[in-house]
Amino acid sequence: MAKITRELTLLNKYGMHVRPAGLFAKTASKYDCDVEVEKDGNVVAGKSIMALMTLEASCGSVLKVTADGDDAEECLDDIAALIGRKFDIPDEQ
Amino acid sequence: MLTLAGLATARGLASGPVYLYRGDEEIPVSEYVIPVGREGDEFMRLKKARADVGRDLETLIGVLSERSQDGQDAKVFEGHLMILEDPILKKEVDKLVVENRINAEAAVKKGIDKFRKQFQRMNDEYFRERVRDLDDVERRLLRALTGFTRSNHLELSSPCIIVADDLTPSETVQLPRDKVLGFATNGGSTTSHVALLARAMGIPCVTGLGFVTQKVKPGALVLLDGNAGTITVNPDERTIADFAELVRKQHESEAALNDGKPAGTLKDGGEVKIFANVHPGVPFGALKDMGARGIGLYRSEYLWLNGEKEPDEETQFEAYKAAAEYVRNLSPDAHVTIRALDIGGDKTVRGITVKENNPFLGNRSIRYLLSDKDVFRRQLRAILRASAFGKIEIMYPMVSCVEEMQEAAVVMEEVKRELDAEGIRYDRNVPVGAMIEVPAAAINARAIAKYCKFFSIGTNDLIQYTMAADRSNDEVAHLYQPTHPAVLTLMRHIIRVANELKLPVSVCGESASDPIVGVLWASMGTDVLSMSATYIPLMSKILRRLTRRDLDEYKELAMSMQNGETGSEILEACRKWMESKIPDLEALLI
Repeated sequence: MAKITRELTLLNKYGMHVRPAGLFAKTASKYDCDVEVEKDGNVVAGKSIMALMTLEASCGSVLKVTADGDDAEECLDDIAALIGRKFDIPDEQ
Repeated sequence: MLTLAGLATARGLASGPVYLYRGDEEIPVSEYVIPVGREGDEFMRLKKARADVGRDLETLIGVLSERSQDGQDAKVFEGHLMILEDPILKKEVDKLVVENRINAEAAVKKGIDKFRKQFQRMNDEYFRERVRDLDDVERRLLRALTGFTRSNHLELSSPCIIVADDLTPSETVQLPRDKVLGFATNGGSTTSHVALLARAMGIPCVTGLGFVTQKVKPGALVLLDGNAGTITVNPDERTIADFAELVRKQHESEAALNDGKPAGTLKDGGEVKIFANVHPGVPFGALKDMGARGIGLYRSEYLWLNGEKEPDEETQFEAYKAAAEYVRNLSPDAHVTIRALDIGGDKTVRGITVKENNPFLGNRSIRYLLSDKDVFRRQLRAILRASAFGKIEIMYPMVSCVEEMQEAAVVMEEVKRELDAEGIRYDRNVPVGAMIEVPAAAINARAIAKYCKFFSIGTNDLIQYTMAADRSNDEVAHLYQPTHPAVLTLMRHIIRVANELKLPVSVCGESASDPIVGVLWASMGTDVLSMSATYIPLMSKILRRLTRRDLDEYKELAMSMQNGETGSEILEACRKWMESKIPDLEALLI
């Protein structure tokens, strides 16, 4: 079992609104590990679109993403890549 | 100028000002405690509502991502789908129902409220705005749970195009019909009630437009093309001129058909009778314009769906009487076939229909009427009284066996005796028939015929029950095949029995209006095709190009393909044949 935390910076223009949160949760849900996201002391479930939106994370926010489980490494890689690609949203590049 | 693409739901062209019918009124929710032991049922109700909303959203997403230019609208609904399925929200709401035994509506509201408060406290305006997405999902869920209807009825002073997110059956039937030029809705279905009604009334309709309610302003000019499935908001002059030209062409092609011969006339002078399917309250004027020779299906259940309770005998009598009186205008041998209350399945009426595990195999239609004979009696009284004013036929929906016909005949006799005793006039020989839409009734048609003066084949249900496939379920819709060999075998059997016994037989299912399939039913020997008025001109055009000999050839073709060919192969062969007879078929369909 591995528990890994990474700090990831949101790069897309409008931050963690519906679509990015949805894509984040969808990506995290592909893995068996638990995923938690922390911002300014707020910790929420990483597989819930609603919880992620409540973080009120805008462009430039730093998220502490913790994955706990056998596939934690792959999961974080996947999420980091998604955030790096600005969620593939054309208008927010 | 803005052009939006959706689904071509009801044919026709219309232009006019927008009447924006908003669906953002708050839905009242009361909270109550579920009795111990019933929380499982309540949980199932919640799950069903979620599944229904999920399916609607998926349909909408499918339509939007195919039809809209940038796919942005579809993405928003993908977000809504994720909110609907969010594990934390789900868990919260489930817990309220299962552990706290709170009713599903209140649980949904409470669960969403919790998040809504968090959003409303946010500093960033952009994030605060996201509360709208929550509201939208909540409204969908509450609508699915409560069957909520907007209370403010439409009040239209002049003709306009109704733009709405979606319309419930009761909202649709309450529309002032002479003022509605067209419908444009956000919702995605072509089989919704607004779609049915639009087709019945001959009103052009485009559905599946996604965000049309947010993209148009009240009073804006809209050009609506129900053939192509598009609307244009605030068109420029050139577009208006092009549209006017389109309208002119359509009128021209309709006028070309206006050679004085009745609708359904064949090239060699023969005739396939074309009747109309109607709802109570539909302005009958359109029927004559479209060429209907009678009313082959009068959906009486809309009198119930309208008020969401049983209409009293007088209300029913007035409605049936109006149809009976009107139908005399259509043709010398015209009649109106009133279908007895066809509820259950997807047509629910509060206080009448109850929750069933498998509503399509449950207490529907004639089964319901025989289980609540007071309702049945009141309806028969009203219909019989109306039969003094014009030619009426009565048909029983969802008949499965002769016992039902026998039991219904007993009730009919009792009602007639009652009317006799009261000295009320009615048509003593009012013909009674069965809708053949259950495979058991189709196979056993000869026995059922003994109790019938006519058959009316309801192909929607007959195909659905034969193939055991719900065509509104995308996963299995491909199995819903009107030309499947098993369906053709049943159709041939029903029609042959009817022809042998000289029993008039009509087809009133949606397939009757399909140029390929409807003509096939006619070729096989049905006396009447009954369809939504909008489709009559098209069917007339097709029939005008064929002779009786062509129809025989067509029937032979379909019947010869019963040796292992698939439903789609048969359909394809039929289409090819039709194209060989009518080379410009494609153009006629546009």
